[in-house]
Amino acid sequence: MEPCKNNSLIVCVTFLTLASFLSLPGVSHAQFVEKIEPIISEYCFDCHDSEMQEGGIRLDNLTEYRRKDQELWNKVFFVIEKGEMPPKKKPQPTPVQKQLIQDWVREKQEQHRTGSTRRLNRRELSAALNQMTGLNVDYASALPEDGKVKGFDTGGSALQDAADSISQVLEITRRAINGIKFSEQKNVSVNKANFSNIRDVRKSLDHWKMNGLVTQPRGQILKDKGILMTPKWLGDRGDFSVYIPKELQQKGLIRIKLTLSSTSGKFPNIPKPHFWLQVGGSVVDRRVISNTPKEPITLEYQIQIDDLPFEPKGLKIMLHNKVEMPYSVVGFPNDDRSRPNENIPGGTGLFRPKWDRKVLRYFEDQPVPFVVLHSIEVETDYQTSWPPSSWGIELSPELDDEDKAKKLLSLWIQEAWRRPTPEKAINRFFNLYKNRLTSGASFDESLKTAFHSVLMSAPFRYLSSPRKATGDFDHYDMASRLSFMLTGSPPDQILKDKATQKLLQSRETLDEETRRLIASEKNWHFIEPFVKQWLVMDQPITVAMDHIKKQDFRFGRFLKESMQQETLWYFREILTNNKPVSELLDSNWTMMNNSLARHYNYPTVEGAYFRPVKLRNDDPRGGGMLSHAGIQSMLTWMGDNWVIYRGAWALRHILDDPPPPPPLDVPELNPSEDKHKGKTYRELLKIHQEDPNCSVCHKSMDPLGFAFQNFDLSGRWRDVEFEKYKRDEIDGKIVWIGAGKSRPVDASGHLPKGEVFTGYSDFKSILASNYSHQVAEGILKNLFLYGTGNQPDVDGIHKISNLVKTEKGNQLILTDLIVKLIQTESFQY
Amino acid sequence: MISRTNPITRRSWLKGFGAMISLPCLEVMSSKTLAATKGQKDPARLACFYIPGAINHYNWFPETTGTDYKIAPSHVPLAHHYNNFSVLTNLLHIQGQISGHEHPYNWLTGTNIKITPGTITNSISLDQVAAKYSGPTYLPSMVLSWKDGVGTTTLSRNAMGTDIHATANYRKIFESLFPPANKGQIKDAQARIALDQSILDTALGDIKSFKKNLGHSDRQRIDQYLHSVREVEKRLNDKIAILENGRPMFDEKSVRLESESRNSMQDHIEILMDLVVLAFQTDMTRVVTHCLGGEGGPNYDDYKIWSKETGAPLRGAHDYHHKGSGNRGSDNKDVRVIGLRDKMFCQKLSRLMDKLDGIEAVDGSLLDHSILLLGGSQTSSHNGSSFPMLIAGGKKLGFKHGQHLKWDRGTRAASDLYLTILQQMRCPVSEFKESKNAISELLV
Repeated sequence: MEPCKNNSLIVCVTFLTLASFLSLPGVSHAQFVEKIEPIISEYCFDCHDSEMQEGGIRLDNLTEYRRKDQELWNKVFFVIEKGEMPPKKKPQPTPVQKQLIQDWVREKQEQHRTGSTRRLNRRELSAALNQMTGLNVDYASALPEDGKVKGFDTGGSALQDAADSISQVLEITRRAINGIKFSEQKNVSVNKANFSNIRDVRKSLDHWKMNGLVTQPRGQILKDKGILMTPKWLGDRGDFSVYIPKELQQKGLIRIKLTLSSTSGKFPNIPKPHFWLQVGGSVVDRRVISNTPKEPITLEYQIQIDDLPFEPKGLKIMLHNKVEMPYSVVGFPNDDRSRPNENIPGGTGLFRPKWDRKVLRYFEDQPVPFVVLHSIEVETDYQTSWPPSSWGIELSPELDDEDKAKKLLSLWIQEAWRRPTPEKAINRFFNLYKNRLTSGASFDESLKTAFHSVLMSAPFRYLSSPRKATGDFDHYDMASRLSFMLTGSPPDQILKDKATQKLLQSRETLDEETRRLIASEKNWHFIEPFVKQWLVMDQPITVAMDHIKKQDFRFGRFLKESMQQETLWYFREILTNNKPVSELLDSNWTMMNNSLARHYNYPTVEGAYFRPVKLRNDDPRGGGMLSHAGIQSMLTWMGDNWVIYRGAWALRHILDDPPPPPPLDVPELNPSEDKHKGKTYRELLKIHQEDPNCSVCHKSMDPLGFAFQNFDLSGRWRDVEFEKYKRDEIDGKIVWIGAGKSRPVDASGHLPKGEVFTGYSDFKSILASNYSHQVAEGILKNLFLYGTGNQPDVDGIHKISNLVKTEKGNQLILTDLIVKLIQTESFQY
Repeated sequence: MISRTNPITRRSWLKGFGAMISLPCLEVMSSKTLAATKGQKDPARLACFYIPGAINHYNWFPETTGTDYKIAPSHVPLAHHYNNFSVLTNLLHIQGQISGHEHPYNWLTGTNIKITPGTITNSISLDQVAAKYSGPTYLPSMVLSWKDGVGTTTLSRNAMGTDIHATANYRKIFESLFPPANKGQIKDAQARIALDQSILDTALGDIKSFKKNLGHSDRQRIDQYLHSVREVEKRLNDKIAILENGRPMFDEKSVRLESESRNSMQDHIEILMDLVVLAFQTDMTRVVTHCLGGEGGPNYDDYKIWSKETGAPLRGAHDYHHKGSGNRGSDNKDVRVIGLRDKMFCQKLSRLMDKLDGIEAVDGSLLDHSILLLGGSQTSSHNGSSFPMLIAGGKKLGFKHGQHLKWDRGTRAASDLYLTILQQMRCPVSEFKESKNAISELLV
């Protein structure tokens, strides 16, 4: 409950008692029928009954306040508050009636506020299992995608269990448990090879064959260092590979350890190679290797192989080198002849230098980057010792006795439950251990059974509201909430200590801890899922090669990934450097790597890592998320409706002003219809807006969407558009190919409050100065849902808008806002 | 595949025999149901196939009604089964009408679950009610789709309204469908199940103290967890018992678990339907749902072929659903693409019926003991006011076919059909959602 300001304590107490009385279902229903229903049936049912369901809203089937209708009642509350409903032409309820409904909504929401218990989603489950076991295995990919609430995978009502999901979790947690060992000394089978002193690459792994592996090492020798892996061009064959036959292992973990560097002989300025590790056809890792042979990098992977396909020779572990940036070298002709004169800025005209292996026999003369493999280690049937040595737990190596079992078990439960372990709980699981032991199982087997059981218990699998129905505040639940929100994983020791000291209600501690977690290395596990889900970034990006009417598959993968990463890195920069929300919308910088810089025509950026780059003054796109090629490209996938789709997306996800869903039986806008022929898209949309069915939404979506007309299918800037557009396709995607006379892009329109803009940069500066508050509110509402699993109710929304209102536009620092959001009481339910 | 045309050869039978010699094996030889080989009564089966997006309504709805109606163009592939299926026109979910991409939530549940998936409501789907009463079988029900997933990928919701995970992986489906092949493995499997039971039992031992501090709706969620775990435990019990019988014998080598083409809708549906035949014949499950495609994709190659045939521009599946439905005229090229798709669905259903009909039950064929529902919940896209529905098979369960039944728009609930199906499967239910009466015209 909110503390009552100004009012006397007595009022509060009375209200509480009354509230708990009124929450009884029968009373609640009677109250609804008596007070609320008559008003809404008189003023709302005309359009919002089972027949009409205007705007997708139906009110005639409500019988009382139910928590699952929270969003609906929020809507009712705010359309009354803003005076939007009933429509002006219709009869209006009296101010008293309006107040009655609003009061009732707030009162009901107050009674229904607690209730954010939800299970861990698959990301969080995997992170928790990794943190507990000390392994680094992707468990999430073996689980089905989680249900979502408004696009977020942390939504409480979507994260529930059915028998089927429990069976799956039972299996996944079993895998995690089987990845650890306590004391049993199994035969460890590690295959090692060091390539610094080999004479024949093909024989360099022959000693592994005795252990049953099938080996196919490939490459040239780099003296005193290792094996040089040539980049895989199209059509090249013969990768470095190792097979684990079925007879050797079919389930469980394998461990792979590699020492790698890169070199490019006489050509130090060509792009660095991308190293790929694939196991069973799935990509385990792909990364740019920029370490020199003198200072190689060591990488270790643990891979669960249960779901991976086996070839006849076995499970294939494949290493290869790929060049994912087009480049040229003076003195070498271009290997790509499909389009020598590609003139798109940053286009992909130059593919790679052409050279002949038979002429240039020595690697230093070859104009390509090499990956150097110094050593490789493959361990089959891998298990890790538990507890992980990094925890620094002293365990006397003596017998596997009851004491040890109990000690290990209580440590495990404490980690799993994210709180100190009650004795009673330990005993329950301890008994399972003892039963197994009595029935003849080994120490390890028995203890693992108990460990497994802990992972199926509710305190591990479920997160709860810190504020309880009883009015208590659970600091450990708060620690979990903060940690899963801002790092995607269970709380660390510092946070748990703060919980033990009961400090997680104090504003200072919350401030300190929120900032600490936002700045931590794990923040990517917050930024990536949040931003991707907030902006619906799972839509495909297109990198078109117009001349061959194909997408670019040669360098497209890395470029597309970079295009998406730009937005994530940009958000991270804003967050970790205390920048204001307005810079999300407009700025003079962005985040770039070499691939993206090429796309944007900034030739001096080298290397695959992202760094802030100040934009040229004459760069028409300027900074801000809306200028990112990845964002604008992903919004073109809906065929020919770019303008509408981009406008609707911006309203929904940036301006927090979602248009209602299209009505039933929408009349289609058909550009090839006789009366529409020869009209521009802008003209067509005007016709569409004349239809009263369509105008409600299109009047706000379309003018906004036109702001982005300067961005083409690949999110590149264009200055001209054509008089007419001809329908065509690229890889099955509809595109409009310009035809007839060209003319400058017309990106004029107006914003929801009516501000007229003449072009994109004009639009952006108005947006940043007039809408930062609205955008900030939207982000906070999304963060509220992401963090708590619930959408904010009326009170929460009011809190959020007050919190934003009290700051001046240029001081809306995103990180400060997040801190303040987390400090509100609403966030703790 | 098992059918009259491809009986198990003696050779392959002997090959399998080596591994299974010590088992009390269930023989499912050539063309009989498991019950028929044992001389027992055949149980009722139900399979529901969902048509994504919308239909070409010009070709779907027959012009005349009653018995002796004129078959509609989309249903031509079913012509030789004329007396084994009926077309039902203008059924709908009167209470739970929705619009948008959420129809797979809605079709078998009749609930408008549009806003928040997984909300606790009484939104159990038809198949799960049937599964509850029709078991126990090795697999309580089989939930198939065009890809693995929940949400709009699956048609099935459990008693708590939670999505049941659908799968499209042939090998996984096959492996989950049958007990292991030898006695040692069966024993191991039983021991594993017993262990899982004790793991779950211990895990929930103290759930009361966890619930103590929670508010009402939090408790509901934990109750759901409890409920679900109990259901898992019950299934484990059933499974232990069924494991005793071992793996039914059939020509495993002839089961197709690879698609010839990665992106062919037809091929994918055929492989899954063949697994349905196998599952029904060996009685490993009695209830199946199968979502034939997504509302907005995948963009199967089949669409390219159809668009070539009609001259329609190449679009994504989503755009075909939009532009190929509604009142755009029967000559519209996009509408004809959807028509060809509908026809393909009917071909596949017809093929399934052929196969089921080729398998002998104790009385009649397996088809006579299987109710097949092909339908969707929108005629034109984003419009849930009348459903395309076609019901086939189940003659020995009391169904009467060869007719086109049509009601006035908005008057008859699809729930009435669902109630009819459940009652004919002998499920002890007297209502389903907004149902009033069983559809007597469909019954003998």
